[in-house]
Amino acid sequence: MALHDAMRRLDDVRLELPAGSVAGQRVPGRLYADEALFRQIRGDDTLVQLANVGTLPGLVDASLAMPDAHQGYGFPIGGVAAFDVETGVVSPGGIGFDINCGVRLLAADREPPAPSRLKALLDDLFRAVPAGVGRGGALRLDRKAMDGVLAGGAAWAVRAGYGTEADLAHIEAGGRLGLADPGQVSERARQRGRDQLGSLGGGNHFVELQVVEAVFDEAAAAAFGLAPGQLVVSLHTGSRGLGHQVCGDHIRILDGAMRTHGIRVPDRQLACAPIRSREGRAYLGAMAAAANFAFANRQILTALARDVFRGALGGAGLRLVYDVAHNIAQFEEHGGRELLVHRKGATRAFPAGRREVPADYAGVGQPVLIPGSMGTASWVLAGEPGSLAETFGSCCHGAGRRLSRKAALKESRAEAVVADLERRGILVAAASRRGICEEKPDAYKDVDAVVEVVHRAGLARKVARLRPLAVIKG
Amino acid sequence: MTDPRTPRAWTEPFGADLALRASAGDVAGAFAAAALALGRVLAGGERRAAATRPLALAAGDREGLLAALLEEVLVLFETEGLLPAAVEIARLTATRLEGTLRADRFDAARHEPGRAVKAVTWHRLKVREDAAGASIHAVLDL
Repeated sequence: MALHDAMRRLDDVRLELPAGSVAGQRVPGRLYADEALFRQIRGDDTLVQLANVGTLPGLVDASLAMPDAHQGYGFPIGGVAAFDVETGVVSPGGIGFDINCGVRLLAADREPPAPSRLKALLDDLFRAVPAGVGRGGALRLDRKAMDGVLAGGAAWAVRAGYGTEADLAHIEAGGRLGLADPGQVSERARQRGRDQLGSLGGGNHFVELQVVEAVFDEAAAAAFGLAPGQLVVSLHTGSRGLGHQVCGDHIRILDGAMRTHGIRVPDRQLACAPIRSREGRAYLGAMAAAANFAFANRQILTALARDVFRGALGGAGLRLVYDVAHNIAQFEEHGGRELLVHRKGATRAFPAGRREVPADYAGVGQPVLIPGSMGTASWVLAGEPGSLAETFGSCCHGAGRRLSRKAALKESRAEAVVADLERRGILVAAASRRGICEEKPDAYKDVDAVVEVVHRAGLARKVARLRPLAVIKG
Repeated sequence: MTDPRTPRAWTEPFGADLALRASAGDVAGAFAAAALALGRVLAGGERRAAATRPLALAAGDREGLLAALLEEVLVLFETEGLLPAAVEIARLTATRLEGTLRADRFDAARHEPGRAVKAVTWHRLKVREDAAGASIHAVLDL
């Protein structure tokens, strides 16, 4: 029987894949999707990967997939897996190569400029923000500075003059994972990251100028400092080559260590080790250091954007609304237990009352930032109690891919994609023509449908919808 | 019909990522073809052998060696702008690979930028060898 035939629909937004659907699967898989999204999701290997994660030791409750889920390698993208700290494992594949890839939202203290000034602003940002394959970053780090970044994260960047102390309160985990152990980051990873701090990278990374199109929850929007008609900036990037190398280095180590620990996995990308083991602790130290590199990277890009705004828009300020990680593992308390929650293409969605939520958002829940595809809406949500009850405080991270990159390329020309976006009033600056085609709007699922599912499931609620004005693609 | 022992390599979609396949008369040939093909994913255009880097890789098995070789190509491009022009494998065992990588330096006037490849994954990583020759399969994270 195909796995999609084994899926049981629990209600209009939840499906379950029973334990035992693949050999060794000890806990069920749970997918959040309506019928239209499920038809897209079941067309690739997402369900096999959801089931395979359920074979890992110490997994608590269920292997989870969000409505933006799609086939990854090992874990599905859009996956959440929480492990008991005593009996469970840590798996680099459950975090991904781009450790702490994440999204940051900045709010301007003004409305968008007229179209001619918007184009100038986009051009200035494109010059200021290093983007694309092989572009170095704004800084080149010596060994001491690299150690500072790996240990200090966004706080290092603030101390170096990139931003303010107030920014740190509006970053997940304060922009620094204390678990970081720079000594576990290899020389090769350091070499790859040495001149990449303050760079966007390629692929699906972007900077987007947006306008708050509609507000759905006035109290939460007011707490987040968002109002209809306001200009905002979204940044999407991660830990660059340094994080990629950390993941690769430690998968190799854990692949070799599994025999020692008596662990067998159905896919080598699921390589893992007990959380308390020497190998597990080494990876967690390196992963946290790479996450700190990513927090610092987004902090420096924020400072570059602020410089551009000050120059181009007569002193306009950019306030940091929030910064979320969507490829990360963190120790969290759920139901009175300490768990290691892996999120791979999934976002924290903690509701009001959790101590991790910033003080000024404590009454409404943390902001959850959901970018759409290039040219489509993005969303600001707020964490809801249902996320704690069902998904270890997690929800979706974006629209989720629908077409392969090759299929997207085959169906379009860059000029046509740009012309179509410009007809809709959206300006584009890109480091690569290929990138424009690969990231075209219909290469992704409908972000509104994805958000509707997490809203109806009670994982996060709608706060504001953002309309794109101009985008820089890496 | 193409002789299956003639080295060749190609890519195909793998969800949002890319699968890299190669075949040749033996494992060393398939590895070399895969490394050159990864270079073509990173950038197009002709290659001139302008620099040489030694290869001395170790891993727990042949799949691990393949991942290590492909990672070497990625890192050389990312840190030095080097694109493989020729891969000569002098010694290949189940756990060690030794040889030489001859490389061109990326030049925007001669090379067209390709895809941003983050990493070589271990998902469905395979090295096969039989009487007809050898083949490899790797998934690249984009």
